[in-house]
Amino acid sequence: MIAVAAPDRSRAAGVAIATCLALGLAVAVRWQVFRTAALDGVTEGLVFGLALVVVALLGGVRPSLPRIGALTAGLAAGGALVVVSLAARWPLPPLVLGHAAPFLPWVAVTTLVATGEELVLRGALWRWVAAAGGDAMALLITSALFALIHVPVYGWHVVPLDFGVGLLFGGLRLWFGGPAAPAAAHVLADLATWWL
Amino acid sequence: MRQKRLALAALVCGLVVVVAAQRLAPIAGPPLYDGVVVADAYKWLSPPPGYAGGAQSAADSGAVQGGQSPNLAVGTSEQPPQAQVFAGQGFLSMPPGTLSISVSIAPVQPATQPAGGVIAGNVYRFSLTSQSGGAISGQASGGVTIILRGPASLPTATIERLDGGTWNPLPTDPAGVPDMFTAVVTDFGDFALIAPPGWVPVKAGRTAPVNAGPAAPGSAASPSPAGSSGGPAESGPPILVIAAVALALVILLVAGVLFWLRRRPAGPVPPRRSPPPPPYKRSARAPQKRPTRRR
Repeated sequence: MIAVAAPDRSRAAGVAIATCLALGLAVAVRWQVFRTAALDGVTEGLVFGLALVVVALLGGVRPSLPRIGALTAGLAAGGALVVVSLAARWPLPPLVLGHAAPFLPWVAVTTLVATGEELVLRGALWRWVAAAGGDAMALLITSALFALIHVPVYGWHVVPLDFGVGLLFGGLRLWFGGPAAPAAAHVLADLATWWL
Repeated sequence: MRQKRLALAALVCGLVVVVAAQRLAPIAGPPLYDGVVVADAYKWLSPPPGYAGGAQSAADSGAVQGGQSPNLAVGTSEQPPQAQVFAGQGFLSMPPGTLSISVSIAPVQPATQPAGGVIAGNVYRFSLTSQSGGAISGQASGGVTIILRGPASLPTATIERLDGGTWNPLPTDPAGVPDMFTAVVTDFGDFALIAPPGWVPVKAGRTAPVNAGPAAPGSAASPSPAGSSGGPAESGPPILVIAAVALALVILLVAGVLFWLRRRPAGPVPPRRSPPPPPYKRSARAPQKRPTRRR
């Protein structure tokens, strides 16, 4: 999924930090847009998703065809997250969110944002952090960042849940060696919010 | 092999943390952990100039099944709904002889203002009655929640219930979606989101005028997007604090990585192997020792 030469540690650390800062910038822009309600939700998501893809490309991600096994496992993990979320509210019926957007544009933007986050975190950033400090370090840092980037919009209460999801996605990344599996899980779980 | 073990450990730990987080502090609804939420502009009951009106009501009913109250999920028709009530099966206390339960949610003018804050959005009247008009309440064990959505950029708020002319706060949690909050209830009546003093909402594309007054007389005590408090255009401090703390954490994280890398014994990843020594061969460039000729 990613083609980078085996880097030395100091260069890898430098690129990892630069990727972190670029990710932080993208999150800050999204937060500013959200805070001022300057754009509608779909446009805001489109801007954020495109920014993430640019960060991922600058970080060295070179997309390639994902393996079927990785996609299947990712979809299974995403389904498990949906089930856990529904079970947690039992016996209350699920909240019906309802989106004030046409379905297809919303699907496209949601897919873009979820995939972009995975390409940055479990793609570019993972690669460089792992090269600098090992897979365990990459797992912890990307999981922590995954939780933190959602704080500005969703609040601190999402941190435990998002950190756990980050670990889960990191496990998929480790097992399958690329961001395809976590991206599939992420996209499925996000798309489920249309019906839940 | 080591990578697979780490992957397995991460998958198990992640699942445990997710289940624990959802059970101990469940987020009321989607997004599960992320998502693109697209919300209609907030609909006011008494909109000030420039703000959207048309707050919606909702009504539904459910038949009692086997002596138990039914699953109920009723919400107003905005996207996402501005007011919702959820009741799990059997979690409502009903008067004897109840055959069906009627639910209604309606925006109403506030009877009074809260002492320690600003009403953010509309006041909603939740009413649950039996077919004969008997009052219905939620059980103390929980299982009945309401969710209120406030105007855009509501950083924090508490759901409060009007009880005898006084607004009483309820334990409130964010609903997992921006500007939405949830609380477990046992009694119904008038509920509203109460924001910190000085809060005013942000209108799409610009901030709300600080000193503009509400349009209708009734809204003097209503959610005032332009509340006369004279506060800042955005109740910034909580968001700014969150952003500052998040930034500090990221910086600490990066600094920690750098510190860890400095302390870590050398050895690039992946490790570089030194090439095996070549088989012995006399180098053409090496100085050759000329054999001494013995005489």
